[in-house]
Amino acid sequence: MADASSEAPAVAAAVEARGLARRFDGAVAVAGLDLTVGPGRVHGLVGPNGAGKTTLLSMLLGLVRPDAGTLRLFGRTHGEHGARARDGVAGFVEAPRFYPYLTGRANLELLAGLDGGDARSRIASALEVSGLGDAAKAKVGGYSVGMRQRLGIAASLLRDPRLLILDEPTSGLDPAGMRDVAALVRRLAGDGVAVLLSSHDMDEVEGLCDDVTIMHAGRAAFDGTMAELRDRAPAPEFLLTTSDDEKALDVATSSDGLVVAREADGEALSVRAARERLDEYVIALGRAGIAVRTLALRTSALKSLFFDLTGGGPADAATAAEPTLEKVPG
Amino acid sequence: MTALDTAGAAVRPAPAAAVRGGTLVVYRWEAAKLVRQVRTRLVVLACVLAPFLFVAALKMQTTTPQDTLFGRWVHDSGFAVPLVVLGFAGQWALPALTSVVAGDIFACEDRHGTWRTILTRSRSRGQIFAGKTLAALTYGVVVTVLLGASSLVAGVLMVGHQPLVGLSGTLLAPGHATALVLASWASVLPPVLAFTGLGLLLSVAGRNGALGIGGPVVIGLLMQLGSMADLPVPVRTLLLTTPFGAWHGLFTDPPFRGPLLWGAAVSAGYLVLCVGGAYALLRRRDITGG
Ligand SMILES: Nc1ncnc2c1ncn2[C@@H]1O[C@H](COP(=O)(O)OP(=O)(O)OP(=O)(O)O)[C@@H](O)[C@H]1O
Ligand SMILES: [Mg+2]
Repeated sequence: MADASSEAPAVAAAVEARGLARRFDGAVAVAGLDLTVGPGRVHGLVGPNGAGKTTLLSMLLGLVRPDAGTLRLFGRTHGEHGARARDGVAGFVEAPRFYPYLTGRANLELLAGLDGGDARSRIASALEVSGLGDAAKAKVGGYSVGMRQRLGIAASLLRDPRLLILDEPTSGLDPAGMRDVAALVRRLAGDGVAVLLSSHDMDEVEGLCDDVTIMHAGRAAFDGTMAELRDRAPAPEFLLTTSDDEKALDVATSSDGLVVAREADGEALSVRAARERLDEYVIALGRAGIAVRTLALRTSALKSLFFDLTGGGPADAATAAEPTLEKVPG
Repeated sequence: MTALDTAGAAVRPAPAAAVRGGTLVVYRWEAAKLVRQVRTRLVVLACVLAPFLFVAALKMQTTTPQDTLFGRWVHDSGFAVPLVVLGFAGQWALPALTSVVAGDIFACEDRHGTWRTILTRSRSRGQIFAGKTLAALTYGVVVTVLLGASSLVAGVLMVGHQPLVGLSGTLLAPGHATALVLASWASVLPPVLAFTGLGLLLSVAGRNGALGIGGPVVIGLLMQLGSMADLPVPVRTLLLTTPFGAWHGLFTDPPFRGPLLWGAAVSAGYLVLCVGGAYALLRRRDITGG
């Protein structure tokens, strides 16, 4: 016990990474990333394909060795504490994998045997929570992607984690599955479990996470709370068609806080504006005798910010045209 | 105090005990996994049945396998049977049988993409490696013991326990013959374990079960060709196939045991190098993709 206090400070963060870096064959996957996840926090890791999310999570789980930087899980390091650095840490990267020739339940029994302790006693409840139902009696080889995902979550819960690491947990899940995962994550966080989950989808993360790190090319393009992220979000983007797009563009040039551009295909206009400015613009169009035919939200405010920060997606052109947009809530 | 309790609760028992216990847990886990595999069971079944089929086939013909040591005595003494089987088995069967498990024990985690599943549980890589390695070595011993015991039983039951003519022409009484047969089979355990090590190394390095299983067999055959070719003596003594014949010395009068000791030493060398190499590869490996 004496060494416990020196190894694991009383309020050690679940994850404390500093300057974590990893290259593959000279190509940067993670480039000096800082990350802190506190107990009971749900932390989203968002980024486009190849941003380095899986590599980062793999380093946390001890699957991939960092080239540089320090990493502490509840104050422990892989270097000093070996497998014990993963005490209380569970999760998976990429699609979870199991022995295909065994049933879901037999796989869990096997893993519980590897864990030892009272893992076996948690199998029933883990299966229940995962919502796998009768599929647990079927061989994993016949599972769908979503079923494997659910089994992966059940396998993680066997370890009774205090830090749960999930790499795109909702990929392949049906809407009910996504809802279940969100509810589970919320409940675990309520019990003080730290959850670190990755996603491509800003909107999914928005409703679920307290904190968010937006990754781009191995770096953190944003790291902060969800509220801070919302404060930084630019105007949402809309798609507009009118009776006379040419004239509609002319009307737009005389207004601030509004960016209107012609779509590449020339069939519609993209409009970036806060809701109030958009109202004014639509009224102005009406006054100028231009009919609005369709007006639809194309990219939410957070998604717009995500695209801005990661330099991709449909909002690119609009951002480039007008970098000094006002802050717009929501 | 509460904070300290929480921190303490997360700490496992003393590291040394945990490490030993951890390896044992992995060993049992891997054994449970192997027992469920059809392939493993089939090989075990084959080890038990093959000698009986072999004797039955011998009894149906009047000729004897003359080219094998003790081959011409198979109709006269049951003790010749396990020795003839040992002569054949040492050439390729034992390396193949033990590699069925050793060559795939690490590669199967690559095939199923399950490295990242098992390496994120509470066991260290060292424990996983040690547990799996011990399981493969155990399997090597089990198949050798089964095949040897089954050949002896098949010979004694189906041919009889007549005295055996030794290599120097002396007659060996049943009790003595039994002891020598058992000693002969025991003497191939070191090279079998060395081939197991080879299978383990190929399994880790190649990440492919076919390579891990086929590799040791091919290497064994190549070494055998080498021992027939005109290789310099120092090279020949380092071949892993030579210890498979070291038991011949037990049947001469007086017996010469030098080759047995040398064979065991060479085998131990192979085993240490292969297992050490395999661990070095696995320890540093990044688990990505797949
Ligand atoms: N084993 C590997 N060998 C070589 N390059 C790799 C390897 N693993 C990852 N990379 C590279 O590292 C970068 C980051 O990959 P990573 O899988 O971490 O991204 P990701 O954010 O998880 O992407 P995705 O959203 O597509 O899952 C990519 O450029 C990828 O090509
Ligand atoms: Mg990924």
